[in-house]
Formats: sequence, C-alpha cells, structure tokens
Amino acid sequence: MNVFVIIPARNEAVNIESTLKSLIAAGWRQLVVVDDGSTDRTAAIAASLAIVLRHPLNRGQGAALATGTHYALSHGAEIIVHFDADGQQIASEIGRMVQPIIDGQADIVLGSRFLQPNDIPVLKKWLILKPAIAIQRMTTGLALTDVHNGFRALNRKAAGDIEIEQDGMAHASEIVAKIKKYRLRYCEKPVTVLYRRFGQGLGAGMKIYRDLIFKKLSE
Amino acid sequence: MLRSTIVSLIILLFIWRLSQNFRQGKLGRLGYLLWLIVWLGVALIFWFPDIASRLALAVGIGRGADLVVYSAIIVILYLIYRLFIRLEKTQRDITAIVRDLALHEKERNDNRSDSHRQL
Repeated sequence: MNVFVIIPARNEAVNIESTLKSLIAAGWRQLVVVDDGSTDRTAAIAASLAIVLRHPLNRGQGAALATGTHYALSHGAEIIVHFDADGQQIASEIGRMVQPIIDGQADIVLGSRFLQPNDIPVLKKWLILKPAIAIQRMTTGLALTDVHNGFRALNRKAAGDIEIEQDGMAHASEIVAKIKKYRLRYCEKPVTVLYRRFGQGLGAGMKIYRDLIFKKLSE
Repeated sequence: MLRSTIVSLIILLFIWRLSQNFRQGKLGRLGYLLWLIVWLGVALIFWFPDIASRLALAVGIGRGADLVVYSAIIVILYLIYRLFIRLEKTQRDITAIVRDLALHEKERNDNRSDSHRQL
C-alpha cells in the first residue's frame, strides 16, 4: 500500500531531522513535511530527507495537514498518516496504526494514549484530557478513549471525505465530528506519547472550544 | 441653533459619503439602504425628539433616550457579527491562497529538476 506520512512542522529545526530519520528507519519512504511558515531552518533541514511543502505564512496545524493531504491524494496515496514533527510520537507504531486499514476493517484509525499504560502528567490527564474526552463524547456521541491525539491513519475515502476546514488546533475535534457525519468506520490503537515538555495547556484547550463555537456561528 | 446646524451638517456629510461609496460600488445596495435608514433615523430623532419618546412608550421603554441607546446597541452587535463573518471568510481565503502557493511551488520545483535530469 502506498503510505504517505504527513508531518506539519513549525519552527522544528531542532527536532525535524531526528523525527524524519526515525520514520525512515521504520521503513517509511513517502514523507511530506508541511513547513507552516517557519522562521528557522526547518524546511532546509527537511529537504534532504522528505518532500517539503512550504506555507509562506503560518496558517495553523489544521491548515498544514489539509495541504499535505491535498498533495498526498493527488500523488496516489492509499493511506495517509498524520505524525507530529516534535518527536513526541514513535515512528515504529505507524505499522499497527495502518494495519486495520490494510485489513479493510477501518477507514480511519486514531491513536489513543489511554489504551496502554502511560506517563501522562497527572494534572494534564485529569484537568484537561478527561474533561475534554467527556465533552467530546457528549457532543459527537463517539465513545473514544482519547482526544486531540495527533497520531492518525486514514484511507483515501476518509482523507477525501474529511476536508479539514479548521486551520488551528480545533481540526482534531473537527475530524472526530466528520467521522460521525460521513459514517466512517473507525477504531483506536494504543500509541505512546513522550512527554518531554508540557504540550498544550488549559489556555490552548479553551482556544479550541472558541474556534469550534466561532465556526458554528459563521455557518 | 449653532449646535443643530453642526449636527445636521455632519449627518449630511455622512449621507453624502455613503451615497458616494454606493455609486462607486464600494457598498452593496442592502448596506447602503441600512446605513441610509440609520442616518436618516438619527437626523429625524435629532430634529423631533418627541418621535423617540412616543416610539419608546409604544414598545414599553420609559424614555426616548433609552430607546436610542438600545437600538444603537442592537445595530452595533449586528455590525460586529457581520464583521466577524467577513473576517472568517478572509481567513479561509488566505489559507486557500497559501495552500495553492505551497502546492504550486512544489510542482514548479519538481518540473525544474525533471528538465535538469533530461539535459
């Protein structure tokens, strides 16, 4: 199967090389880095290891994923994987993420930090993630075990149906909503997230809800 | 008297600018009519404050001045809403342009290296 890994990156000059090398070591060849208006050498470093698309202006992670998806679909991708540039995810776990799609059992596979023992910081887990998962369950009706996990695998149908319109971080919620809307077959697989630094805090979470509400208002 | 003249002149100036914008196509018909009604309303109430009082009583508000303030808030909220919708659309358009630029640049570079290979 023709697998494209899409890596949105903004000012990741420090991490991008090791991230790409770990992906190559895991056997993935079609790597698409979407440089989202970086002001550092991210694009230059990535150019020797991956296909690089450059947003001349910063448009957000959702917008970067959409650009990468556009490119991958027009270059014959059969499976599209979303992968973070910052080294928080583990390249060797892509194999089990794409397996349900190869087996024809799912259109989209979502990574979940909660399906295996994890070292998520306690405050983040109970103050941010658990409430957010509950809200997601209430608003979408999908019983997922994680929220806003950036690790995903999609087949062509799912990638084509889910046109990401949320430019910012709210795209993760948008994707879950569209799984329901287009009745895509989905499943979750355990993934590891390395917490080398505190990722998105409560403020970022509030911003996501704001984006979602504004989007509803403008429809 | 001087005060009335100045206010009237200012309102006239606004209406003149408004029709100018409309004629130059900077403003849609609906926007033009809405703004025209707003400024004519302001002029009317300025010259005949009784109208505001009577209208206020009719809709159950005590004073004419209160009615003016309430209406102003509604108009302002509506304008903010319009502005917000415009902004969202502009943001979407910018993203679409940026995406096109990114994809085209890639295509151009690919074609260039292809033609190099042929040489």
